[in-house]
Amino acid sequence: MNAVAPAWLILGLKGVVYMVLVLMIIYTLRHGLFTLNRLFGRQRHPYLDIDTADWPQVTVVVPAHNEAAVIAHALEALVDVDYPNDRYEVVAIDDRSSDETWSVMQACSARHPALLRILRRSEGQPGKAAVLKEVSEALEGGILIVFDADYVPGRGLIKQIAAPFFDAEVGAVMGRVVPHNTASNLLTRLLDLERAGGYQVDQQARMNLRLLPQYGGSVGGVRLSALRAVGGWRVDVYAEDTDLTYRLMLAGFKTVYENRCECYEEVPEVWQERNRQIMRWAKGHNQVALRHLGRTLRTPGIRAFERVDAVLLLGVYLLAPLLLLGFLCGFSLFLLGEPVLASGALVVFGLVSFSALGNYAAFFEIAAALHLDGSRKRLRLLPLNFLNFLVSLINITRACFSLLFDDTLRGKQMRWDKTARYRVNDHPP
Amino acid sequence: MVGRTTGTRWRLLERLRYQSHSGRVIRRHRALHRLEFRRASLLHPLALLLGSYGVLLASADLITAFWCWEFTFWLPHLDLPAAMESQTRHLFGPLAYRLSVPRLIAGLPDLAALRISAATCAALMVLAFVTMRGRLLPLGYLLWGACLVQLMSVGLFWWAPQAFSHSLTSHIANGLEYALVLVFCVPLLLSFSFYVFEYSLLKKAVGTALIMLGIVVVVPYQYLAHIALIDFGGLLLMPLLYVLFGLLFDIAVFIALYAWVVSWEA
Repeated sequence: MNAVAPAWLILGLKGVVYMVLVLMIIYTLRHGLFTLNRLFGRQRHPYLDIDTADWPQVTVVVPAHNEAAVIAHALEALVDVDYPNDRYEVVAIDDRSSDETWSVMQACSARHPALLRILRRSEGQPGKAAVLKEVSEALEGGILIVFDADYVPGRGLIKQIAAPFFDAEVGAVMGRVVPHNTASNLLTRLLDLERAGGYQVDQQARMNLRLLPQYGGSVGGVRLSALRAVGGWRVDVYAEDTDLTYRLMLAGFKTVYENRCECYEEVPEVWQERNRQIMRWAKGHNQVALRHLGRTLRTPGIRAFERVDAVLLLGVYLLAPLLLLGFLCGFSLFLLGEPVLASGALVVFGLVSFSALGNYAAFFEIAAALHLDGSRKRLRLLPLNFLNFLVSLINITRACFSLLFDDTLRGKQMRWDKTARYRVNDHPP
Repeated sequence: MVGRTTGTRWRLLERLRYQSHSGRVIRRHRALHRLEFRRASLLHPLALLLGSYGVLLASADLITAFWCWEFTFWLPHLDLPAAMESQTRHLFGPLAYRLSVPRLIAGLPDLAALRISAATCAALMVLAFVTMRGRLLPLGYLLWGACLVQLMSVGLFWWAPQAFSHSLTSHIANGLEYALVLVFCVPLLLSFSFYVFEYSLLKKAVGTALIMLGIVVVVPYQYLAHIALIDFGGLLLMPLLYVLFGLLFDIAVFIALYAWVVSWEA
């Protein structure tokens, strides 16, 4: 009998700690399986050898809002790709920028009038999802490929993204994102570790195991007929890409991950920007979880293993607040003089907690990714990833509360944050 | 015989596929690269697990004896002479081991200590909020977390000090036990996160030994620091040390050593 706390309180606190421990172990095992599969399993790259074909009509969309510093690089690279010109078009949309974005786009368009179409939006709902919705509704058919303005594709990328669409079951394709400003500072190096784990191991293992690779909204394409079949882009979610991934899966379409489709992006260089980014992702992901959890559990035709993984993927951004709750309950038990867990279980709790980095990039997963990437020296930064873990833990929890109180209960209007760019505009105007 | 010849030829052809003009190995693109599952991929983890646990089971008492020796040597130098209390404990149920911990007493904080602690935390939180932005933001978060933990402790010692039933001796004994459990977990953790990579058996064995040795060496100094700080600040500091510089610190040491070992050239 505790001196100050009633028995039910102690029991409740222990119950929460055990629940969080079990959840963390489930996710750690999931990522352990992904890691071993990526290291030793049969790697699925079923569309990699398609090189000569009757290529489909492709429209690349580049939404831009105040992207003057970076958009020229993206557009010049996009018009230089290896794809039949008569079936290829780049549409760049300036969504009410207040900087030089429009004039940079005009200059690029003047250089490549046949391939590059530029549009300017000054009305309607702002944001990437609204732009994509508008453009996709105006297109007749084929494949829609989306690029953020800071992404620089290689010459073969469009063919690599388009190839899987010869498979009629494929609704969306996602490529690998590789940060190119890694050397800027500690944060960019830590984000590089996280991205490597997420794409090189997580996404490819999900592809290998025929689970649900995530369509990430950039460096990826979607079949327009599939998009229309599931109701088009939604503009009332923060993560329209994750939302589309789930709607496609529920409608019976496959999302394909192409690890060889590499594209290079800028990651945030300051912590405040990273906070905004992870909060936006967490809010959007949890919105999708609320909308699609029930249907993911009920919809027939999804394999049991795929369904379990799809549910676990939906819950990935709920782990941060749950982990904080587990820490709080464990600490309360300690203060009340109660044993938190048996020593073995407590050590396991500590270890699995350290694996819940950001959106679950476990330390062994990052190690495997960097071994496969052939850049092991970067692993020496792994202990410092604790800082990234701490910042993500707090900001994902903030995002969960914000979604609950601001968006759901108070009905606050959705607001899109613009990701800051750090590149100097050194491209000829 | 035919099968063996075919197998040899197959291996030769496979090797030729990845042999460059200069005779070097053509490495597959990172997107397609994977590790070959060889006999060693299974035998190395098995051999190292058996070997590590054999050594650990034989040396659990040696580890705790080393910790005891460290405490007996250093505590008088810290002007904290203490008798050692020997306890028989059980690890994972049946495995009994002897643990010697210094018998020390720390007092409950008085009202002044609680006020000073609360005021310091509040000041540090304001300072962190105002100054720790930009690159220092994660450190600001860490400071905020530490201050919140400390404020919770202040609250407990203010309103219900009788609820706090931990003593300095039990705190040290539990901390040492967690560290020992962590050392025992190391081979198991490495079996799927280090032994699977293409290192030689020797490198894997040395890596394992260095990681375990690293934790074993750090732990007594970590808890000597706990003893010195709690002797200075009283039991009020124990919860903070438990959360930030207890087991989580040991795990951070493990991760740091693991990262170093896994970054070696294969």
